[in-house]
Amino acid sequence: MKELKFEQPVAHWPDFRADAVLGDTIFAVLIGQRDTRRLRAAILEMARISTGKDIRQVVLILEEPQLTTARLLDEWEGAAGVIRPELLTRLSMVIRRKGIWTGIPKTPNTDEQATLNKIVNHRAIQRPVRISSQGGAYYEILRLMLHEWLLAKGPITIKRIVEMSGTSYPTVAKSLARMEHYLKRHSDRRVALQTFPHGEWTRLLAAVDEVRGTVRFVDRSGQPRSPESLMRRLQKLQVPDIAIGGAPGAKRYYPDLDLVGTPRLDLCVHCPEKKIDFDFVQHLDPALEQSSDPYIPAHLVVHTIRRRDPLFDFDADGTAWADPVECLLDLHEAHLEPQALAFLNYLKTGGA
Amino acid sequence: MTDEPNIFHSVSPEAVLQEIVAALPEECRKNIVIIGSLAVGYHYFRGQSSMVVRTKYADCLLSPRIEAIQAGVAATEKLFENHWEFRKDDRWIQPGTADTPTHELPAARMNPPGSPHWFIELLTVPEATNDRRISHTRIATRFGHFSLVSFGFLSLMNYEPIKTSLGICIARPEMMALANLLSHPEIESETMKGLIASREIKRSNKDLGRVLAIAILATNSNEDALLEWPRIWGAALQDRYPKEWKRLASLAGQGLRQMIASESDLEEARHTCEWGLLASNPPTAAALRIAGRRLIQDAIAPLEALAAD
Repeated sequence: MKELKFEQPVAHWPDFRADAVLGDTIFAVLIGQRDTRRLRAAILEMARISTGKDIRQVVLILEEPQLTTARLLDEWEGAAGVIRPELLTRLSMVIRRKGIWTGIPKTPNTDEQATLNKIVNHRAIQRPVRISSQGGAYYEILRLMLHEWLLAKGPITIKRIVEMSGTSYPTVAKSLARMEHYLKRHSDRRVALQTFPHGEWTRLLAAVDEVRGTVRFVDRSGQPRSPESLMRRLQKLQVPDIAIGGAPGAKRYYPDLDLVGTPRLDLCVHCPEKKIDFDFVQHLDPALEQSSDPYIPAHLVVHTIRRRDPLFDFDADGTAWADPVECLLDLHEAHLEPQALAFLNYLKTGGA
Repeated sequence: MTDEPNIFHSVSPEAVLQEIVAALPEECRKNIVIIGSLAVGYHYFRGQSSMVVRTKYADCLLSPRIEAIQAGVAATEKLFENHWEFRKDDRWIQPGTADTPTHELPAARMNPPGSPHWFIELLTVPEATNDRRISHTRIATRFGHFSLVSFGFLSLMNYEPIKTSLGICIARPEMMALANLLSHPEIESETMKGLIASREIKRSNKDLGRVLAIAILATNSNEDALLEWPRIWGAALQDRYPKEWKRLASLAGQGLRQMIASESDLEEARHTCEWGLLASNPPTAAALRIAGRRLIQDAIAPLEALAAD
């Protein structure tokens, strides 16, 4: 039985990566396509790939295109006029609108639709993040670069930054240009921070609530559960996209951090695309209620991680931990400045 | 109905328990489990001399059933010998006699010498666990005839009781909470016989309010205490009600859910907490509702899940 594989390289075409491969059939997905020039280019690209050895079929999948069916047919017929007939027989274009499949030259059958659904759903999860603003994307990339630098991961390719951040190449390029002063570009086009970007960090701290979509919860029972109790309950929930940050997170990386007790629990929720679902808070404690008043001490603070790679670290029991940069931001946000400074110094000296 | 602004009086649980233990014959202490707010107060407030419990009675549960009559007679006679007095009320001004029908006998209620504000009452576990109606068992003593009353889910009260340093057992607070939850699968209109601080209160709200008071006191001692309750609740139900434990478990949260959804019922529960176990730190209605939600989440829902497996 043929196995459906996602994001596969294709032999003889090193510059192309298929969204999915099933036996000798290659799939490429375009989501929300509205640009006819890009569609034309994609069809011709498919035709090029179809000349590859061992490739029998190439399918271009259009998920919710913003072009009419008539326009899609026009584009297909236009391309068909310039593609060799023996290659054209290997090509097809399938379209899903509101869950309904159609296709050129034919509509896929039920089994084919099931496979196509899997491919589109997988691609939808992997698609670039819609970070709310240019600034949001920049700060995601800044935090990512800081993470790589503080953890001495070494230089990184722009392609890798695109993958990890879930943003586009131009966005990454623009963000790197903004932090150019702190950046070292290597001859192989890899980049890394060469020093701690104090100026950018200060700007990030000033906007950290907005950047991370921070939401605060306060206790309404008069008998608040401790952060440790909330953590135990979170661990029981076994939710992989929620990580513990704040003081407990920082202490996990730096056990000697001078911090007695935990004033509140900071959590990072990895939510690259959807609207964040706060239902889990009620499972931690029904006494917690969202508060927009920053002067009321919060018992639980939730931050949103929008980049594609949350950079979480997992314990053997499945507990997820926020990365050191998020923990550092949490310490600042909780006004634990001496601890934040100590933690930063520890990280800078290669502690983590 | 008697309008008594304070049908409950403030007593020190430790002092009352000491007085009871001192007055009871040593040989029947093993048959007695103290239940009710006195037991709860002793469990959570012992060692805190300033903490008092507002109650008017100390319920003593006699068990096992087979030894209850003998122990009841011994305890009653010893208390009278120690100058405890029969607790008179509107219906009974003196103990019953051999001619008094069992179901008309007065309960075995006695005031300690010089303390008219509180009294001891002897109860016993039901003869059969599936019999939850009020039943009366005669005890014939040298000082008259009395009734040992049993009802409801008293069989849960002597499940793994806690032995105190005073040499007498108290019921586990979580078992008292479970018995009260099971006793009120819905909020009924029946009210308490007396007023509580000038207010007429539904019995369901008073008993379920006590459940929430116990939950609050338990979490004051250990914030995750309620997480332990489903295990012992499940074990107790399976032990005491092997044939119907699943059905009972599925009903345990019904009344509480109904109560916390009703502002008026919740307010009555809050009032009883203020005039009862939580007198020293009365909760608001909102806090009590949260206590209910926490109890449902930590203990009742897991018990229901256990029963559904």
